[in-house]
Amino acid sequence: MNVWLAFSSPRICRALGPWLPLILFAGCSGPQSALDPAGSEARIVGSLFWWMLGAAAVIWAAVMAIAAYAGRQRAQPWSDRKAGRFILICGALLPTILLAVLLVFGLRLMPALRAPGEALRIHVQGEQFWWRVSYEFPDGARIDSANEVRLPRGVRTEFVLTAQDVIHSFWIPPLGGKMDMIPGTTNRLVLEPTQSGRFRGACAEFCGTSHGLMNLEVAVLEPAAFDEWAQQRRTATAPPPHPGQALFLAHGCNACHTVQGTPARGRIGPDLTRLSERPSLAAGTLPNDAASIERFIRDPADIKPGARMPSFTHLPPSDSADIARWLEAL
Amino acid sequence: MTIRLTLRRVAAALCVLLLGGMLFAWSGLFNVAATGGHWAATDWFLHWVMRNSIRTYAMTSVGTPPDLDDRALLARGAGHYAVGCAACHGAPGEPQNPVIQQSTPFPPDFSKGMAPWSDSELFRIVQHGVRFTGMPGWIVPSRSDEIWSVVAFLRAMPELSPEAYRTLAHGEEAAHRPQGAQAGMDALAMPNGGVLSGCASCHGRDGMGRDGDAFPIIAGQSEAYLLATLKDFASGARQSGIMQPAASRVSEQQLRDLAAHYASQPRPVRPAAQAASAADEGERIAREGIPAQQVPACLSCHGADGVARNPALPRLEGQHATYLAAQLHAWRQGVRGGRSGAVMEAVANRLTPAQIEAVSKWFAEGYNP
Repeated sequence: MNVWLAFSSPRICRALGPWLPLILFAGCSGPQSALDPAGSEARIVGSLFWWMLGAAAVIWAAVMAIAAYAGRQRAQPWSDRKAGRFILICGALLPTILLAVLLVFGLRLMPALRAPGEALRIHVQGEQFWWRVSYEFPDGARIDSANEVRLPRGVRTEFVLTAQDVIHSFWIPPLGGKMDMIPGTTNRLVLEPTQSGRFRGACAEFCGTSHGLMNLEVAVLEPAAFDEWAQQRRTATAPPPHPGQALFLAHGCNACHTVQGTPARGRIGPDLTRLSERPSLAAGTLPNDAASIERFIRDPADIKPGARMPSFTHLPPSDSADIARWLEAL
Repeated sequence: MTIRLTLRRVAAALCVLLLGGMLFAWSGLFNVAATGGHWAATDWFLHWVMRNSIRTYAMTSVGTPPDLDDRALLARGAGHYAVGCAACHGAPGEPQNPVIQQSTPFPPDFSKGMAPWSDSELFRIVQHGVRFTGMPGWIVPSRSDEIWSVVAFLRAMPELSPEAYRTLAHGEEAAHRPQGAQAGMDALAMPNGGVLSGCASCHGRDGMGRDGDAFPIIAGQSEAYLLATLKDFASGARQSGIMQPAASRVSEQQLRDLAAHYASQPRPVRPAAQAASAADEGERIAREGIPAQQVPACLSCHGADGVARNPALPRLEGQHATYLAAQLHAWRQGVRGGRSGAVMEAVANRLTPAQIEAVSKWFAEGYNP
C-alpha cells in the first residue's frame, strides 16, 4: 500500500503533523553534515555554532518572558525614566556587549583556521559539473584525479581552489569550509581531518543546470594507508590488456580523457586513471559500475543536463560496452 | 422590382452558391486535363499570383548571397543542374523533352532563355519550389550554400555555349558522356558505367574534384567512412540537397563499389607550402587543442594513426580548406548531420570563426603525416 495515502486522512495528518519537523534532525549526522564534525576546522566552526545557538536560545527565552510579562492585565505604565533606562540597557547596551563578545570569540578562532598546511597540497578546479583534482607533493610530483579527494588523517592539507568556467564553491561540511572557486582567482583553504572514513562534499554555489549533481567524494585515510596509495599512484603502471582500451583510443576518448599507462592524455575532461577506486561516477551521481559508465558514455546530458561531454550514441553498442568494462576494471 | 437585402437572404444565397460549387466539383465536369493548358486569363492570373508571392518572400526571407561569380560555386551548381534540373528545364544546346512540354503549366525552357528573375527571387524559387506547378523545393532548405550555387549557375547559364555548359557541368567526364539530344537524359543512355561517371562528373574518376575547391577530395579516403557517408547521404542522415539525390538512386552494392574505388585512389598530399612555423595557430589547435575553450586536439581522432585506428573517422590532410571550414560552420548551425554529429557539433561550437579558418587551412596545406 502506498504510504503517502495515509496522509490523505485529516486525522492522521493532525496526529503526525507536529512531529514532521523532526525530519530536519536527519541533517545532524551523516557523511555530509557540518554538525557531525570530523575535522578540526569543522569542529571550531561547529562549536561556534553551538555557542551561538545556546546564546540565541537564552535571548529568545528572555524576550518571550518579557513579552509575557508585558501582556499581563494588571501591568502599570512605567515612568519615562524607567522605560528609557530599560530601552538603553536592553536595546543598546546588551546587544553591543553580546555582539562584541561574539566578535572576539569569532576572531580568536580565525588564526587556527588560517594556519598554513603541511606538505601535501591539493589543487581542485571546479568545472561544469565536476571537480578536477591534482595532488602536489613536496617533491613536486603530481597525481591527477577527478571527483574524489583522498586525505591523510591528522595532516593539515592545503586546498588550492580555482574555477574554469563559472563560480563554484568548495564545501566538505564534516571537514570545514566552505570556500568559493572563482574564475581568474586562486583561493586557499586548509583542512585537517581528525577522523578517517568516507565523507561527501558538494558544490555550494549555483553553477548551472546540473549544479545539484556536482558532488565530491572524500576519503580520509590513515597516514600510512595514504602514503601507500600515493606511492602506488606515483608509479604509473599500464592497465591489464583488454579490448576496451583499443576501442577507447579508436573512438577518440583520449582527446579529452587521460588514463595513465596508456596513450590517452587528454586534459579536457576528468582523468580516468584507476577509475575503479572511486565510489561513484559522474561526481557522485551514479554508482561506479559498467552499466552506469556505458549509460554515461552514450548520453551524458541525459544524466547530467548541460554536461559538456557530447553524446556518443553513434558508437556500436558492443564497443561502448567494452569501453565501459575496461574503465570499470581500471 | 427591388429585392431587399436581408441577412437571411444573403446567407441563403451564399449557401446556394457553395452547394452549387460542390455539386459542380462532384459532377466531374471541371476538366483537369493537362492538354490544352489554361485559359489565357487564368494563366495570367496564376502567374501574377506566383510572381507577387516570390517577390514578397524574396524580399523578406533571403539572406545575403556569397560571391556568385565564384567559379567553384558555378561548377557545383552546374553539376547539380545537369542531373537535377535539366530534365525539365533544358540546358544550353540540350532542348527540353517534348513529354515535359505537355504538362500544365509546363516548365520554362532555359535553353531558349530565362525570365529576368533577381538573384534572391531565384533563391526563393529553388529553395521552396512553386506549389501547383510541379517545381519541387530543395531537399534541405537550410543548405543555403547549395542553393546559392544553383542560383550562381542559373545567372550564368544564358551566356554559356553548349560546350562551355558541358565542361562546367561534367568536367573532363563530358568527353565520356553521350551528347544528349535532350537534356538530362544521358544518364539513361549509360545505365551501368553511368554510376561512376555520375560521381566523376564532379569528383573526377580519381576523386580529386575539379575547378579549384568546388568539390571535396575523396581520393584515398577511408573506405568505411566513404561508405557510411554515402549511406547517410542516401538516407538524409547527412543533409545535402545535392548528394542525397545522387546517392539515393544507387544500389547498396554500387555504393560499396564506389567507396572501394575512391578509397583505392592515390591521395597526393600537397607539400607543405613552407615549414609550418611553431606559431601556426591552426597547427596548435590540431595538435594540442584549445584547453581553455575545451577544444580537444583534432589529431587525436583525425591524425595519421587516428585513421589507422578507426576507419570510421575521415582523414583530413590535403582536403580543401573551404570545404573543411564549411563543415565546421554547418555543425555550428546544426545542419550538417552525419554519424558523429554530436561530437563534432560540440567541438565546432567551441571554435571561433577565425580558429575554424586557421585549423582548416593547416589541414589543407600544412599537415603531411
